[in-house]
Amino acid sequence: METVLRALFIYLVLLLVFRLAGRRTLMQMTSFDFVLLLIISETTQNAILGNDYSITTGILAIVTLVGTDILLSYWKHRSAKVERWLDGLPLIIVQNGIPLKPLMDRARVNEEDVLAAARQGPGLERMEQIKYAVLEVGGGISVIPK
Amino acid sequence: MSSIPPIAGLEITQDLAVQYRTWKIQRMGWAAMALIILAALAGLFGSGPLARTAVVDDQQLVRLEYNRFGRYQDESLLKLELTPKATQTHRVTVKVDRNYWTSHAIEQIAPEPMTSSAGFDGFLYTFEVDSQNAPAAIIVRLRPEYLGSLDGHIRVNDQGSLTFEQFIFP
Repeated sequence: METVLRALFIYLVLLLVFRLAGRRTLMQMTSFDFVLLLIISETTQNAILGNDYSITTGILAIVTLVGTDILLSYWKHRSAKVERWLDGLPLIIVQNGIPLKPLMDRARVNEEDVLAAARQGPGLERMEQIKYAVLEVGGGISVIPK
Repeated sequence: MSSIPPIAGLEITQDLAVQYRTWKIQRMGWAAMALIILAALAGLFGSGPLARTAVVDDQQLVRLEYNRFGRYQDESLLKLELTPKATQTHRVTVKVDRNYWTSHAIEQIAPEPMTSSAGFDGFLYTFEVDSQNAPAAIIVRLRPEYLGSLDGHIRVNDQGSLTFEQFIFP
């Protein structure tokens, strides 16, 4: 019982913390972000398993985590409202070559990030060549050229 | 944000009202996380200035140093400082109530008691004292095996008794 409760609790705490951190946190996958994620996973492991090294506990934890994930994805699929609160919504940050500054500031994205995405994606050179730049739910920026 | 014209051509679910509410909740969440960190630094979750405290029994025989807050299965330390009044003979008895003792895994008692016995209401330990009428200390290392709040009772030489309370976080 304890393992299931531990796994469930940690799942919900992680969901909450990562949602509160915002999509631009830990989503850019610099090598430091990667190391940070590894440390978090290590910390989480102890909290879920405790001092129990048995296979049973491991399986129980895995099943609980995956099961909760399936349940939530099913719930998100059924309800758009749940999905928008758990995953967030995409956000347009550049429109017709004009960066929407107040939105970008709140989302912690700067023009350099948008230009980098414009170069990597459609290979654009300047801001005015961008029709739309969208900050996606996953934290990435997608760019649509004019 | 009425300055933004409606989205043309791009099939996208954008809801700025929800977005602003999300940002507001996120800011509140950051504040809450900062408060948690500060509380942890202060010792609200065990180990810190808020957590460590001491209590003296009614007969001034012993001073108990303990943690007000602890964590499940984390090490907890009880330090019993016997006053010269308690060490008048070369034997000191310490009685701990059963409920408190059985809610912990007892890792170590230092020094080792000469004798230990089980009574109906608690565990009785007898310690040998080298130098009489001098202060002495007994250290107990234990691990809480319970969650929430629990009272502990300690009685020294069957005279001075004290009660202390600990809260254990999961």
